[in-house]
Amino acid sequence: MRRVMVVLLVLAAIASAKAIVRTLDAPDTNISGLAWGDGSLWALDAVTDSVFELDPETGEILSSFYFNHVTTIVPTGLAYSETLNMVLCGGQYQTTGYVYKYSPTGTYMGVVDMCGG
Amino acid sequence: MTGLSVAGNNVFLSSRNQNRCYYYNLPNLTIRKDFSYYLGFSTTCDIAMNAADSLVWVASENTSLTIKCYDTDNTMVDYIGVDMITNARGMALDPDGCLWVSDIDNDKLYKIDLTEGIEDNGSGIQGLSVVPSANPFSGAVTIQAPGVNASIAIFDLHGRQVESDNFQESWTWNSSAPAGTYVFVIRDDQGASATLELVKI
Repeated sequence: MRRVMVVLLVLAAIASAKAIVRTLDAPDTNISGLAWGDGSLWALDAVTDSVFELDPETGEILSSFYFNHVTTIVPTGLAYSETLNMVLCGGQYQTTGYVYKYSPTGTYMGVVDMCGG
Repeated sequence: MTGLSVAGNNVFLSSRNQNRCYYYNLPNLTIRKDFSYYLGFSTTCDIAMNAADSLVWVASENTSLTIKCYDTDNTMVDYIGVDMITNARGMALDPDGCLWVSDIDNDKLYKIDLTEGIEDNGSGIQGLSVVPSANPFSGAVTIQAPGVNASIAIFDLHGRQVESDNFQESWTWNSSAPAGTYVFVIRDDQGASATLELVKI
């Protein structure tokens, strides 16, 4: 028996497309996390465990620090709290995620394990 | 957990294992609340929050739709395809609403204007219409675009491209594809595009 097809809705119509308006060279070769904070673009590398503060106009590295984490986790996410002046670095090991807190200059401020990944 | 983003006093956390986005209060991250479920998405990476519109942009590995945007009803409301970003990982939104994405295939960081060129006029392709078969049991549907040369790509909700073709003025899908939701992406030769969601039951 053939199936009935129902057209439910038109999601959206987009004339032309989103546009890439700037391209920068990444500061490293495995950038897995990005964040915006205090006028800078922040980038996290999954292999070298480096956190970079970048000039969003030029891509110039303004500062960097080493994300010192449990060796087995893979760094995969980055966030910046302007309210708390805090860089949050995320990673996962098996089914558990971890959020590390740093100051923007790289001072370790603690870690939270997020059971359940 | 693979994605992080901060908005206000909350940190949004994306779970790769659960295909979900949660949020926690800062700074202690002790109280968890649901934000969205990535319906039809998997192997997710970093996220970027659009808190003003309650939307989350999420990157994924190994899919034709490399970045999707979900609302709090778990509905995909926008996307960026592999034609723009081939292997997205890191994601961030700047104060101007532009999306920043890292692409690990070419080690570039891209700033994407999400609003440029978007026309919310019902269709980016003039005269586009969708016509189900007169026989409700036939399972066929016809895309009509009078005077238009276009390409069509059909994706399932896992982001897999299930069919693609080029057509002039009309194209009929009479597929034996299984029941489910499909996204039709239609682009004409002038660069305009339209996205349709169809549910096959």
